[in-house]
Amino acid sequence: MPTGESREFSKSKWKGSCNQFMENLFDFQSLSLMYGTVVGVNDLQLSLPKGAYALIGPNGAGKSTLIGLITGSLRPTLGSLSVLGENPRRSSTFQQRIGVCPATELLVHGVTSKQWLVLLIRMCGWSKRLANQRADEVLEQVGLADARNQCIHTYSLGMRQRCKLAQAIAHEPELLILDEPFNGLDPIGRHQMGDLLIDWAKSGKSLLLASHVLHEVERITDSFLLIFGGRLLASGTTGELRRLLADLPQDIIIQSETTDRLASLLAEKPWIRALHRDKQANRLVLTVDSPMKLYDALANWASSGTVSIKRISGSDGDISTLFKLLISRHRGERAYRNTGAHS
Amino acid sequence: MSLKTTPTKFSELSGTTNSKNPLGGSLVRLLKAVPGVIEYELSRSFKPARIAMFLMMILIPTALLISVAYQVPEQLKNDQQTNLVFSMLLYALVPQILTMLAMLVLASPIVHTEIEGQSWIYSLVRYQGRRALLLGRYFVAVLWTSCAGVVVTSISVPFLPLNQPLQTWGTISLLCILASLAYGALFALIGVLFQKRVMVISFLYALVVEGVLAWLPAVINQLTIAYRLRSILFRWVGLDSDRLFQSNELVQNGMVATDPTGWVQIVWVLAISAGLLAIALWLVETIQYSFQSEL
Repeated sequence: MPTGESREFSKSKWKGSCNQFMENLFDFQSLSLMYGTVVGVNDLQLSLPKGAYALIGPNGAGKSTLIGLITGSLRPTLGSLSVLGENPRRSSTFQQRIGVCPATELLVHGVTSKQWLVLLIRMCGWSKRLANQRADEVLEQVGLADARNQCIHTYSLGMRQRCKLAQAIAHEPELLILDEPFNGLDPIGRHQMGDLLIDWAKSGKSLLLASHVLHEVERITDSFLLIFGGRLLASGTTGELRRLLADLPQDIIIQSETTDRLASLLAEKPWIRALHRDKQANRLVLTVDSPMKLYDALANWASSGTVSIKRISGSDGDISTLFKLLISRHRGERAYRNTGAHS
Repeated sequence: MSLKTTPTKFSELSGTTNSKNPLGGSLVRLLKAVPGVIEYELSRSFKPARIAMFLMMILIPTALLISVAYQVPEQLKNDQQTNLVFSMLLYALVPQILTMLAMLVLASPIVHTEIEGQSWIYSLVRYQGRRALLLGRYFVAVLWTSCAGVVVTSISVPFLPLNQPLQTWGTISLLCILASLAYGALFALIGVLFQKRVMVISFLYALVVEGVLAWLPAVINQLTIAYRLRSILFRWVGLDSDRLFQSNELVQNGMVATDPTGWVQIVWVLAISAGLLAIALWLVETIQYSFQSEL
């Protein structure tokens, strides 16, 4: 579990970068977007400094809508937003500062990747010569140099994803926005895409990565924005989110040879919400309001020899579990029923 | 939630403006981008399907015109009325029907095909990208269509019973270019305005306004492109003397402009084209298209 220092560190890190660059990556002020009566994005209030962020949420959570607002392709119903210090819909310079890699399949027929890239680079106002040069460079960068004169529709899915990434970075943007870049990729493709994005993040440029493939996201950045139902459930670093996880109610399974004694001790504790004893399996299934307190108590009892503990299973602190917990809390459920816990 | 970062007030932000655009102003960037789109679209155009369509566009009206010309008795071939009828037929088939339909097919779906093909997002996230795309594809459509019109005219004119074949060829060719520009701008605007059934709407517009309203003996016909094109034809082909012009039934019914020259009508057509195109260019950047699944 992370310590309090890590939480403070990340906050001061973010604050520090604010002061350093004097320009936030995102500033959302009561940002909302409605599709008729359906809420797309609901009252987002957030400021983030430049950096790499992962936007995590299930399908329909509002990730794409938020990206639409950030890129300026959608107009907010209420509130306002500023990206890289500019209003995406009003600034004449904004579009050249962002690169977008959409989630949708690339359906360009009868055109080579180089032709397509040259078009998109020239659309940014580059000359033909520079566009050709840059297209070659960027195709090299994404590993498509050998296939540059091959038609896009003959590409594999992974190659098409890399081609999409190439157009997003071709005009050298400051902020790269990717929507589900790992969709449809095989493990090697995922790894390669991950490496490319890690390189991008390391280069000091900003990144917003919308995905539900959590472990790949964790590889690339440790800053998360968790979104569901158009609302921001949580934001922070991996450490902060893990700490949040430890503070949230969850189910924990304890295997012990002294289940009776353990049950009687736990039953007195106010932070135990429910306790079920499975005598045959020698285990207790607990619903705990404050897992950190449980872990402290168990450590004390075990070290003093009061109880013996063979195994503790529960939320392992990964982002997936955290996300389920947060959704559960968002939906008003009192405790997340941990079905996929592992020891 | 405690983990959220504290929202920063806008007033606390300084240096929020970006550096000057190194690539030039809006118009410069648009002018740089449009040739890129034209080049790309032309390279995509030289495909069997497009060439087949181009050949069909040429062969059908040419065959029709030549076959009709062969039906005319020899003694009527030098008649003034025959000359006018064939000039009108050439005009009706080439600048009016061929050009209008070709532009309908090529210019109406400029935005729609991009949205359907899930490629709209790529121009959307580029400054002036939508305008560059619209303009580039418009010019390519104009190029293909006016080329087809000029080729049909060039092949057909030698076979038609015309007193002034060279003048007719020049006028009809000019009308093909003007019609392509004007109808292209009109259908591009319709394509920008409507996201669904754009071809149907364009066809209905062409049928009702350019097909019916344009031929009504009323002032309303002056609002149509066909009226302007027809006026140029009447001034420059067939009715080159004022006496013939004034005595013509269509002129008397107010279905043709009575300007002393056709130049006024050319200015009108160019102004209409520029106006419609300007509105389309403004709207294409302003309208929020439904392509949410794209992102």
